[in-house]
Amino acid sequence: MENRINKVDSTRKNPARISEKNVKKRRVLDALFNCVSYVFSSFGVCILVLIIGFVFSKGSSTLSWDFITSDYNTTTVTCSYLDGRDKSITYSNPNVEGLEFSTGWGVGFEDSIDAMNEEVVFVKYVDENSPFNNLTDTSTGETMDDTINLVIDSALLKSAEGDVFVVTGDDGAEVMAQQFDRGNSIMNLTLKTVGGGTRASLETTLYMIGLTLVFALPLGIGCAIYLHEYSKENAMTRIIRSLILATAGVPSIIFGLVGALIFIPFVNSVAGSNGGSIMSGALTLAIMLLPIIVTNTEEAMKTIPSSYKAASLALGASQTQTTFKVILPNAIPGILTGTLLAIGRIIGESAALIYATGASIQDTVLLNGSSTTLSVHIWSLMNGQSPNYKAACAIAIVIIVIDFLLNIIVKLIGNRLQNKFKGVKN
Amino acid sequence: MNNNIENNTMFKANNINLSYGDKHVLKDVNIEIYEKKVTAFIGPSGCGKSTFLRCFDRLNDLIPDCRISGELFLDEKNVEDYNPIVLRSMVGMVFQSPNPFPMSIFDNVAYGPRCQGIKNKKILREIVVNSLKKAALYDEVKDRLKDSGLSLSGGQQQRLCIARTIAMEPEVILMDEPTSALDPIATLKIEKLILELKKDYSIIIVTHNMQQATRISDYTAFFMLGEIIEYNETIELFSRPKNKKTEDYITGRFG
Repeated sequence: MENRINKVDSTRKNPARISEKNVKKRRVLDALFNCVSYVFSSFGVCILVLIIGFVFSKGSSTLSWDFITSDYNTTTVTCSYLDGRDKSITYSNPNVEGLEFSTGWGVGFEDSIDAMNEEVVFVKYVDENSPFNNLTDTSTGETMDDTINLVIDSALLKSAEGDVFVVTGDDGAEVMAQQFDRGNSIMNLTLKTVGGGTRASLETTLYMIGLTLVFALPLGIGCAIYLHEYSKENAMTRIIRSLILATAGVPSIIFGLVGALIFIPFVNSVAGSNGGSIMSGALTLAIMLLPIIVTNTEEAMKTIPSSYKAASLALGASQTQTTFKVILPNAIPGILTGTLLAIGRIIGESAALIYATGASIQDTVLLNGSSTTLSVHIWSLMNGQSPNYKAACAIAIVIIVIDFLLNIIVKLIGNRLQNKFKGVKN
Repeated sequence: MNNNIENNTMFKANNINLSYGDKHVLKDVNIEIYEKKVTAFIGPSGCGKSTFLRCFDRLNDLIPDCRISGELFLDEKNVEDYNPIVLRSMVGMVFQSPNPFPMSIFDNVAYGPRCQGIKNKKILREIVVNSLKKAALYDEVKDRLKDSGLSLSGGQQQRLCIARTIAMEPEVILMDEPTSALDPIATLKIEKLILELKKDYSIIIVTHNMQQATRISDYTAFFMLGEIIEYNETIELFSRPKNKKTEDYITGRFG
């Protein structure tokens, strides 16, 4: 023994021994590898920032509270003010920038662009004593509640001298204000809502998330429990497992076809709907997302120490009690991860839903009716003759924000549960 | 083994043979375990003592290719004839490393009774408090029963596991090297506890620590390569070993 130690010490020819030269060479190599990883990761970050920046810069001008909360289709109201205004009153101009004020009517107009990217004239300001507060809806005969933020389609005015003339939205706000001042009474005024809003699509997205998870979670978790706890490790189990994994790789448009051919007729016969519906879409997505939930749940179950199971059984608990009282609660963080991934895909999915739900943008949201999620809404906006980039980007912002919020919420829940399991006090 | 007339037999094993796949782990094991005594299983690693321990509450059933032959009687009834759930509520098990469930201290102890269908909160609380007191843990945790079982120290966790086992009011407590993951002070506490518990329960303990076996056990069985080489009163076995192998092992000349 002693000899051997001496030999190694004296010869100093051990190749693993660190020499000055080696250290230098290694330093250079390390620097090279570090450099490469820094460059690549910053490249990735740059691309991400660029994409989000692009979407925000394009979409932020269109994005507004109204955009999120208003209907997609426009509603038109026709009204009139035939009494003739009091010529002696002049209303004071609020002097807001961009506002073209009609002193005779006490109304401010503004040039703007609607959600469909067209130039329109808005009613932006109405003085509290203005006759505009007493416009009569010609179809119902009632007084109009509010005209602010409506678009002026056209107006048929009559001057004090009896001339009848027309002014339309194409004339712009400035001309509109002048012409209104000329007019003494409004014979016919066509107002319409802005339209292009995404309220229904937003609601549909939330319904779709909820309904899909209602279908997919019990199914996926049940499947994972079977695979992990009850199934024997044999050919059948292996086939089931590889089929589930294979399902994850099937393009979503194929699921869309399956949805259109199987779930739409099924939902039609059960829920009495006609054509694609949120329900048929949710069923399709549930099948599509099954692998994500099954694999995540099973992975989470695999990480649970087998000693928990042994302890539970040794205490006289049955297999089922062990599964539901010990295994499943501990798998919740994994189930949440799967759920989060699933939600991300539900929000982002368009191809499957175009077939399984339909792509025409609606304003009424019914579980057995067809309406679009935000992603399909984008698809529909971009699919026509004149793609509307701005509105599409605005919706993209909404999608990114929803994704971000859901991410934070699920992370918080997950952390809370994890802390509880690890014995950290809340 | 002739002076055990006053002892009641708890377990009786007849020619137990056990194999995992084609690995023969236990060979013709015969033993009688006595009521309200501490019986220690000693022997080198891989000699089958833990495997034999797991036969008593049929935890080996969980291992897919495990085959057992021979008979093991608990109260003169073959353990194979018991419903495993009933058997396991009569025979408790404390594992090598502390494994409390990731739930509150209270829920940990109440787990077994709850699985048996006890829902009354008053009864559950009584069971939990009594079990924790018997496991000498109550004074340390009485103010924080709602805290996670995992927030306790290793020794406390192991006593929690013992309390959890006691909550089922078993007749036998099996302990598989319960102190191997603990420091000497925690070990001492557990040993004191075992001496206390033997008034009410029969205890079978697997240990690598021969001093521990001499300190706490009444009977000791020496296992080697799946066979019981010698089984006797602890004092007898350690002071006057009859078998050469036993002598070699307990004097440390084995190997």
